[in-house]
Amino acid sequence: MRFKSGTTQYEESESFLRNRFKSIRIDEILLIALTGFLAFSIMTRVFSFFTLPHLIKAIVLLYLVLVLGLLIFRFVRPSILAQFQDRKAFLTAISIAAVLTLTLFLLIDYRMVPIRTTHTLQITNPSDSSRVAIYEIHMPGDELLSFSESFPQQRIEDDHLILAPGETLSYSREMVGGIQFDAEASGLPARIVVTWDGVAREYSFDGENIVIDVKLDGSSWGVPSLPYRILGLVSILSDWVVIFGGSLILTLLLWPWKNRVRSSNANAFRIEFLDHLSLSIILNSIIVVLGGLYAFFFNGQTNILLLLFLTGVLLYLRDLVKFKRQWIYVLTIGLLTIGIMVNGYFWIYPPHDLHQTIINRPYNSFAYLADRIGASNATYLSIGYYQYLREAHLIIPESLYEELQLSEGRLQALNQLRDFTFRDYDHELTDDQVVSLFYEGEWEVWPNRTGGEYYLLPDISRPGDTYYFFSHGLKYFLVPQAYIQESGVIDVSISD
Amino acid sequence: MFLFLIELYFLGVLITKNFAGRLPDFFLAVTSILVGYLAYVLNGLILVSIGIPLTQLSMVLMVSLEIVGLLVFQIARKEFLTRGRRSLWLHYLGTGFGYFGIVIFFYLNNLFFVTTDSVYMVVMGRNLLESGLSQWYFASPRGMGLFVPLLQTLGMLFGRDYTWFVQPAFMVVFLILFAFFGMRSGQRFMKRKVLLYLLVIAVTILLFSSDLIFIMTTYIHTNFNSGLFLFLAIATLYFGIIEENSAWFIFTPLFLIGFGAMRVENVVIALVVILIFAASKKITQRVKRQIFLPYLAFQFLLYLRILFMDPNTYSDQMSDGQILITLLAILITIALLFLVHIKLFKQVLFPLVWWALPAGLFILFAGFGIANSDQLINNLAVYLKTVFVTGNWGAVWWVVVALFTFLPVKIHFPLKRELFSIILSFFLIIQLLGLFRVPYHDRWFDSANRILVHITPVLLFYLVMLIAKAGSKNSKGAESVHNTTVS
Repeated sequence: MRFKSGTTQYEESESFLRNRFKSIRIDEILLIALTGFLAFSIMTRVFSFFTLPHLIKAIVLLYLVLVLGLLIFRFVRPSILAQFQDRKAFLTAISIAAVLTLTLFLLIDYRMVPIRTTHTLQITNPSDSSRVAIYEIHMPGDELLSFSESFPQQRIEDDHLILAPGETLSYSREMVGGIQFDAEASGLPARIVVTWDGVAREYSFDGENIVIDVKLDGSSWGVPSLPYRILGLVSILSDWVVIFGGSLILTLLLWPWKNRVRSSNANAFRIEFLDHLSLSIILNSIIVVLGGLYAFFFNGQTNILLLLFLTGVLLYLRDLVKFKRQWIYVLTIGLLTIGIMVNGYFWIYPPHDLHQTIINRPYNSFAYLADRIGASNATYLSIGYYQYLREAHLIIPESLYEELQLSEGRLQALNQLRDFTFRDYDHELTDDQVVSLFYEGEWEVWPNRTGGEYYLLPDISRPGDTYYFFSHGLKYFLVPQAYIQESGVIDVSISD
Repeated sequence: MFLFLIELYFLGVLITKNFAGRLPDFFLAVTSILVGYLAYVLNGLILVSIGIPLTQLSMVLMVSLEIVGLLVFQIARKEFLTRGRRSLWLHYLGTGFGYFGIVIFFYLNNLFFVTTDSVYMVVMGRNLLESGLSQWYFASPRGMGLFVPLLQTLGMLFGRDYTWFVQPAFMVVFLILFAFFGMRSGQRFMKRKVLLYLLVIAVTILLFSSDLIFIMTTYIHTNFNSGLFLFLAIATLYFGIIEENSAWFIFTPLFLIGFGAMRVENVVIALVVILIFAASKKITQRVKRQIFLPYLAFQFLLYLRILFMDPNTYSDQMSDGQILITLLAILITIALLFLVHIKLFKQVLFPLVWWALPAGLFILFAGFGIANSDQLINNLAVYLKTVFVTGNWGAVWWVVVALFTFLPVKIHFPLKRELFSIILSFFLIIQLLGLFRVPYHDRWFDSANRILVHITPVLLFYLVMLIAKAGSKNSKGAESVHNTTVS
């Protein structure tokens, strides 16, 4: 593509970028500021700024600034600057916008967006005789407040919080939004006084309203921490700057004198570079609207929003790299850096604890390694005596099986057992029997994951034997049937 | 034990030294570590296959004999301490110190990640020592590869219960060689080295900062090593072709053997790689056979031996029928290597392979998928979820998809078609195999999620080249390599 001046598209874009930052003008600074305020207002009012995690906050806000900024600079700025040539008209527009803003300020019931702040709730039952039962207290996000955790001293009946006559309960927590609850009086006359962030209001129960529904205003200021106090003030400022700026822009764009401005005048203020992004700017604006609708109607999941916005950014990048191939390197490294930062974020706030499990282990034994996998008792036992249990027949009293928390199915599957039998016999060995057993040789000890140890004697055990389980306190013995029959140490009636 | 590790490294050095002057010193030095371990595994396999017990004596003796043999060979050819190789020896020395520093650090600091599979592999290692190839518990070569169990025997031969300190060495080798190959491929297109370094370093950090890859670096398992060996096999093929240097190809079968011995299903991917490169006109028929036949013979013999095993363990996956099909596939691939000169193959079929193979896999996938649509939908949904959300990949796949979305499509770089075909086939094979097994699940340890580790390095390598070429001034230019043939 070749421009009128005879330069190529690449040369145009290069010279534009080279000179861009050298000649930033006052109108651009004002528009950038307006973009920032507009983005923040939309962010707080539509995209739940105060409830999102910090990283997501930053991503969504940056994306909104980008989309709105490009939209304003591409489609609004040229017309405004063209109007600005007519100083008189421009001053008139400012006056109209100021009057409009002032009128709105005086007329509308402005409510700031709920910020993250510490709200304080106090409910008093001033009645002399009527009890008041508080039903579920719904916190912002429809989370139910746990009565037993939040009011451990308070009486609770049928999951209702009981407020005796003359009693007051207080609750305070940092949150974003208001609280809602229902209250029911046990008799009439009755009333409650609800004090929300220091402002008291009385609710009366009467014949028609024995149950009252109380909704507390989320936009109440409360006691926010310093950062949220600042953000709250910025939020209010943003709203009014946006109302003023929006009025001004609309006045300039819609006022009849617009017709006097020739389109060539507006074209003179167009930034050629942005023309090439026109399609992606429009598409991204649509994405913001879709994201807003999704957030509004479906209480939008952050993942979907991020996916939408990521697609939008990629549309810009795709248009952008058509200009200058070398930008691919910078953009790619930038994208990779963002990816690394996101990974870093997951290191600080891990959704899983995988990498946190890699810590220096004090033992290098096989038993410790097997214990680390957190397997079931049956798996752990199988790993310990795998050579002996393979195709073995295990016999165990049900009580001992329960005590050892074994699983027949798991033992069967892992060891391809020949058989597994529950049999009732006296599995608790006496001290003498244990001494006799230990006298037989060196026993192979393997821990039981839930306490105690298993003992198996290789000298008398063969793979695939029939093993009986015995215990002595927390010592568990696997003794082959042949040994029991021959040694006479243990007396178990064996009838196969 | 450390003396034996030094001996293994020295064996690796003696093997790689044969290619001094033909390949970069840096590559030879770092690869010596892997070659040493590969030699250990192959020696172990040979011993147990012919019925000689794996003992400290048998292994040390075998490795020592090989070292002596190589020394005699090199001294006889006056190649051992030739002048002008100072740089190479410095590389070997530096790598050796770095390598043993890492091993000793991890030996003293027992940092590992372990799951049930890890324990089964340690038990397999014990089984190898106790009874060779005859007795298996929990897992066997019909379900798991023999590479890691054999590696586990390394510590056991010297009285350790298991070997916890070797896996990080693989991680460091991967880090270094991935960056090395990334830079080597990118510098063909990117003149500004700082940007190239930044690009490759950023890609490497992105990969290693994800939770999944991070744990893999100390995980006693097969996925990370599979990814390492597959990447190295493909990278050596790639550079052998584009640099027209057949010395790279010497390492391809070694890395393919490492890959094939790692997991039972790796043979499928290895055959895909072989088929795609065998169909390429960029290597002569003789060289193709030299590169691929050693691996195919190894894999054939290994599966033949496994066919005659009856381990009957809890986690066995391959039935006799599946092993026979695998053996048949290997034989067909071998046959193809001898049929490449036939006109039908050379001029008609092979030029189609790069797209016909993934297309065929897609048709199979779609066909079986329609017949088993519930599983197809579940697997696809679960797969997307693990890749982007639950698989512990962090931002890796988000960035990969983002890059593919905004980078221009019509960018050409050497062997792009072949690499693309391998990557696409890999994904299709995962989905295809998923139709014949228990459905995939969305936890990080799902096998489909872990198997992604095998292809990710290749994919990122592909991306590095795509980015490097896309940003260069002649980004749409064709490459001269298309008309060359390595012989």
